Amino acid sequence: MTVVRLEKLRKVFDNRVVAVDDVDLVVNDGEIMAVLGPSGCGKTTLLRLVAGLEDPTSGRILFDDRDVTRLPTQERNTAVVPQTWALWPHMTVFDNVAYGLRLRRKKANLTEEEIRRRVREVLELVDLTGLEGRRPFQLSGGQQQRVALARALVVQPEVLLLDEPLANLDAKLRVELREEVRKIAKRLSITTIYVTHDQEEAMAVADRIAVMNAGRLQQVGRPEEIYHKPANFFVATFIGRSNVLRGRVVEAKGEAAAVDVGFPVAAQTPHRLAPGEEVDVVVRPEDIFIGGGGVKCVVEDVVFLGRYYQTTLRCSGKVLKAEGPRPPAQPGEEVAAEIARAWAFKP
Amino acid sequence: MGYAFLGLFLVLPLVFIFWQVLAGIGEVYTSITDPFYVNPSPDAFANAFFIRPTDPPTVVIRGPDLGVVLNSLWVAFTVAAVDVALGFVLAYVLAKYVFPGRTLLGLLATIPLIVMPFATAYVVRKILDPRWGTLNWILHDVLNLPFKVEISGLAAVAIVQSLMYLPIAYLNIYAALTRVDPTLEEVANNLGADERKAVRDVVLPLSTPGLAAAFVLVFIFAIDDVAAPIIFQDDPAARKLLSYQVYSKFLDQLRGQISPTAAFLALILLTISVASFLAVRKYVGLRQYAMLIRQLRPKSYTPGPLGKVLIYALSFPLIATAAAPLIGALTLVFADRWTTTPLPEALSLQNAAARLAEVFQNPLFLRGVVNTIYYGVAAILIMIAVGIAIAVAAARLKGPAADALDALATMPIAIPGLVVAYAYFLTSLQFTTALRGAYPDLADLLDPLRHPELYLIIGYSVRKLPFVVRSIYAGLQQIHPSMEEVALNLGDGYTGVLRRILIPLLKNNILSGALIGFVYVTSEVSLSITLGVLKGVGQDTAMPITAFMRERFESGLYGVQEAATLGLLLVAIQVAAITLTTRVLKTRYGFVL
Repeated sequence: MTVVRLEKLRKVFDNRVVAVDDVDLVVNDGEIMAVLGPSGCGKTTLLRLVAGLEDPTSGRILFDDRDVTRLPTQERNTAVVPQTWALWPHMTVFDNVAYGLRLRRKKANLTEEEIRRRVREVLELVDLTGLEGRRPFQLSGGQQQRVALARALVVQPEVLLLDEPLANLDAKLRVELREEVRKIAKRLSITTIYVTHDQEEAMAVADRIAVMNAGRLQQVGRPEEIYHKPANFFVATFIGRSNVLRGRVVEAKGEAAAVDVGFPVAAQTPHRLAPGEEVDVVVRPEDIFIGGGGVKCVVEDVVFLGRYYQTTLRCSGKVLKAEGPRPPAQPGEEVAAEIARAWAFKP
Repeated sequence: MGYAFLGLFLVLPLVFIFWQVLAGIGEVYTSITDPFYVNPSPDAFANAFFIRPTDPPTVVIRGPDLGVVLNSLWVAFTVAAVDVALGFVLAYVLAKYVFPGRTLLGLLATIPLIVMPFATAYVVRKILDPRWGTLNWILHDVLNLPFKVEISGLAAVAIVQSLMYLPIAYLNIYAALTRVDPTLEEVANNLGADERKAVRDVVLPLSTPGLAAAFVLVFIFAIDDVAAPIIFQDDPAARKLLSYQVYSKFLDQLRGQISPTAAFLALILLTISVASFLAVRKYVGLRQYAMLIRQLRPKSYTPGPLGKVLIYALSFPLIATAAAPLIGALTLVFADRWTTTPLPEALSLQNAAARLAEVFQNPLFLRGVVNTIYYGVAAILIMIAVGIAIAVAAARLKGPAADALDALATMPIAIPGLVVAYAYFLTSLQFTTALRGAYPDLADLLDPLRHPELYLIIGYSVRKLPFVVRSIYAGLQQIHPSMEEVALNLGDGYTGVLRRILIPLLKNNILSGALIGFVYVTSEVSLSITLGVLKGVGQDTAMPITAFMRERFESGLYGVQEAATLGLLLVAIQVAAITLTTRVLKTRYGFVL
């Protein structure tokens, strides 16, 4: 079990493109840390730096107390599962999985029998017993993903690095497999870094989430912290669905602020705000309650989306989308909408 | 349209050759059992390699003389083996290592792609000349080694061809190595494999088909090549190759000596080439090419100090050696003379200017330039029209019809130009003889001795069609079928869809295919020196530049320099086209399978 520490990690490509910008991060031993962000935010580069597939421009990478920053990938004892899975098409499932063990044969004093046993065990763990003799092209997407996972797990890495491992699968399979990935990683207590752009996947798999944007970490915390206490505008709008209203601060005290967005809203804020200051107010749709008190709104549209009804409201000229288990009213009706929770961020 | 064009102008003429062989099978059997054609006896190795007791001793390398058929096989095999081995070293260095000078090395590696027929072979002959050649000057006079080297006959032909076709091997191997997804190698590294193991276990197995395809392509080009044997034809052994024999018997046919043996030799040449091609057809089809040109950024390593030394010590000299014939050929234009000295003498710009002026003032040479451009443009127009039809059908059809068209469209790569020339000559003669009674005017129009231009243009179009088709096909693979489907759905017919949707979207691919096709047509040799000379050397000659180069090389020293000057014009055309295709149109150039 290994603690991974990234200290002021920086990676610049071609002297111009800052892919990872002074990242400090600690992944505790046995923890699953999701690195979540939009495409191009640097999360894959971060993972490749930890794997040793890229050299950092500056900063350090430590596994426990060992500085591995300059160690080549072969010597770090990490295992990567890339987005494309990278199964070798000219090798069988067995040979793909056994590859890393065979390289370690002398060092770890492994016999061929021992290698076979470990491969069989890990294939059983990922539920692929009986497919050892097949080639990758003979497997389904889900099976290929499991082979890639088995190949990484069998070498008993200190750190498991998963780069959007479910991206190439259909939605239903993604949901099934993400549970399995979490179960297996937890069972083996492997320190895991899991890169994804899918927030639901991040929340389902990870113990903690590191939200990244433009090479920088925006917030690190448990899924509920990230969701309910976003550190900034990016996190608030990237995670979950949100309404964004521009307004002006009427009054501010500590972490609370009263904001006029066309109607009054009580908001939480991580900033020190002053009256008159312009802010962006973020309101989650599920935090808008229709039918009690609050601002007068007109229902413009009601749409059934399976798990909930989405209601489009016009309130003092502003458009808000609310979500709830029942249709609150018909289009054209006037209702009162109460905003239970909101955040105010400096633009 | 594709089937009709290739059926009429490729398949049918080849059938005629087969028919002529059958018609004269008795004579064929008598000829072909002569040891001149097949001689697998120990005597064949008698003069392959020996040391002549001169002062200083001369190491003589000629290669075994196993008869025409086996000579062609061993020479082509040796060339392919040498080129794949050296090409692999070069491709590996450029694909897998990052070092100062890498870009320059890559650029220099493509220099030998520029074709200057006959001139480059002539320069190698000068370099290998046992009395005054550059090689012996370096070995004996500069390095003071106590021996000389004489490389002649088939060995000399093999050396010329190895140098000529090295860039083809290198480019195809480079493409194969860089086609391997770098992630596959990275995962191997991550699991503990160092560079050597990762390349051995992952990269090499996955790029083996590309290496095999490179081997076969060089083999086909070498066995088809007639320029090198012609340059060394003073040595009887160099004439004992299938390509030279088919060429010289073609000339005999012009003098009225029809020979089924010639047809049979052409058939052997054809069979060997096509069989080799079919062995790797899966890896050279249109679909494979379209995947191939999608370049990935390969996994690369930084060499250590010893690695760098090896890279610089091996790669740059290798490239310099491969580029030497072309550079030597270009210096012929600037040199006053190159007779009994190891290097060309008295280089000056004035020489080049004077020679270029002579070329442009010579009405025959000008006619050759005009013919070359005319044939090139006419062939391109045909290739584009037919190429679009074939590419669209191959890309959009499914099933055996598409596979057959894919094979037919790429097959001309494997058909030797001499065989095409021979087939066209035979077929057209038969055809016009049959027509002459009833349709004398039509017979005159189709008579190859009166109008070889027609057959040259068609022959060029057939031979170089695959390169144009592939370029267009690759572009089609980038266009989703829904683009056409929407247009059809809105009411357009397929001709309209082709004109309004596909062709505009494919214009870069069509243009780059046309440029590549133009370069290959203008530098083509086999058809040019056979069909091109049917009207002789007169005011209305049909000879293109390459045929004039051949004619000038036989006419003595100054003829050699005139031929090199004509070659310089060819080089200018090629460089312009390569620059346009690679820099402006961003397309890969150069016989990549």
